[in-house]
Amino acid sequence: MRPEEARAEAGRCARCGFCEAVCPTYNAVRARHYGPRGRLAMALMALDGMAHDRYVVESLATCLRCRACELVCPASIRIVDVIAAARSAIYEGA
Amino acid sequence: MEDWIRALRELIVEELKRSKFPLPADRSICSKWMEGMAEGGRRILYTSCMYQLAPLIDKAVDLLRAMGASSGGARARLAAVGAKAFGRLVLRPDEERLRWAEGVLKNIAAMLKRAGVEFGVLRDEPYSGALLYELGFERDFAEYAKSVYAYFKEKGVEEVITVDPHTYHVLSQIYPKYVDGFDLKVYSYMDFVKPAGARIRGRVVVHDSCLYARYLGKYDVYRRLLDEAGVERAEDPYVTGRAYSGCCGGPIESVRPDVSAEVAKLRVQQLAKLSEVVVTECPICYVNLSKAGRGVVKVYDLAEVLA
Repeated sequence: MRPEEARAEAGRCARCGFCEAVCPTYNAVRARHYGPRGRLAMALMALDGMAHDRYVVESLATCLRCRACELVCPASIRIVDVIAAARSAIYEGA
Repeated sequence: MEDWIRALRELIVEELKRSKFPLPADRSICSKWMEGMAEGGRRILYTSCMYQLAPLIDKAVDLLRAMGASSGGARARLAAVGAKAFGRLVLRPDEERLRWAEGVLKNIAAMLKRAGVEFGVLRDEPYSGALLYELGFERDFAEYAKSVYAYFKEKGVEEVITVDPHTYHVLSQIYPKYVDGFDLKVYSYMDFVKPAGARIRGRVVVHDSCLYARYLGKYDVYRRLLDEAGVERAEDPYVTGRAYSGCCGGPIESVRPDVSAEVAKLRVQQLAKLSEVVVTECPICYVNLSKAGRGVVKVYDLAEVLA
């Protein structure tokens, strides 16, 4: 997913939070940046150049890519692809 | 954490360049189970060393934790320095775990033969590179994937039968995006086997691999195989449903082993509500859940259960 596409996709999140109920890391840590809607917000920050913020890196690097969130997202956001694009922005300066 | 991730990438990339194996280990563990099997051919059974690797990941994660990889901040920076020393180690799996891996692979090969599938093996098979892709090092993965594809072409391989979800996923869905002209046909052993019975009795609970269940359309396939083998399954939509069948935590073991362990612990608690016997289809799930579920559940691989 290209950065501009990822930005548009993340921007469709209505922050309903249905995704948090199924997210294994959110349930383990209970911190918002460890859940899908938090990660979408962090992905937007990474794509906008805040790649070195500690919470942004921690949030995006700990996604399991398990895709459980995508099955319950009412907006059918391609959450894992957005996170992968944001990870690339951090790791490879894409 | 960034320092640690950078160090991890360096460690994996260097090790893959050196030995086509992502961890510093004795490569003979990959091919030990292949004794007596035909070498090469147009269709191969490809393990990508995943089952043999799993016992090593277990050891590597213990070492990472000891080095402070889970704590972030200053200790993670120290751990990054430690990664260089880590790379010079040669990890050795426990004999018991290695025997488990060999048993699973031999049983897969035997079931394929019984189903009339002809195949060869490659004693110097390289690792698929799945870990690089899953951690997000896509450029490194793309470069490595091309070398693995060239290896298969050089050996005259046209069809690949995989044994685990990570290899099946990268070969069937990711390689075609990164490797020009990729034309290998990729299968899972589950596409061919016809179980005649089961090696265990009683009701089991299936722990889904995220990749098989939500990326690769196999959610019903291993359930059908268990049904055909006469194994009774306990199901609950909030534990084993397509969305609620939670991850074992394995994919972030090398990034945050503490969070990974907590995820595995929660998953074991959910599964234990349905049965004390858990069936996995992925070596990473097996290792992670076995560790977290010690004394609570007994974990089997699908290929140990089917006969």
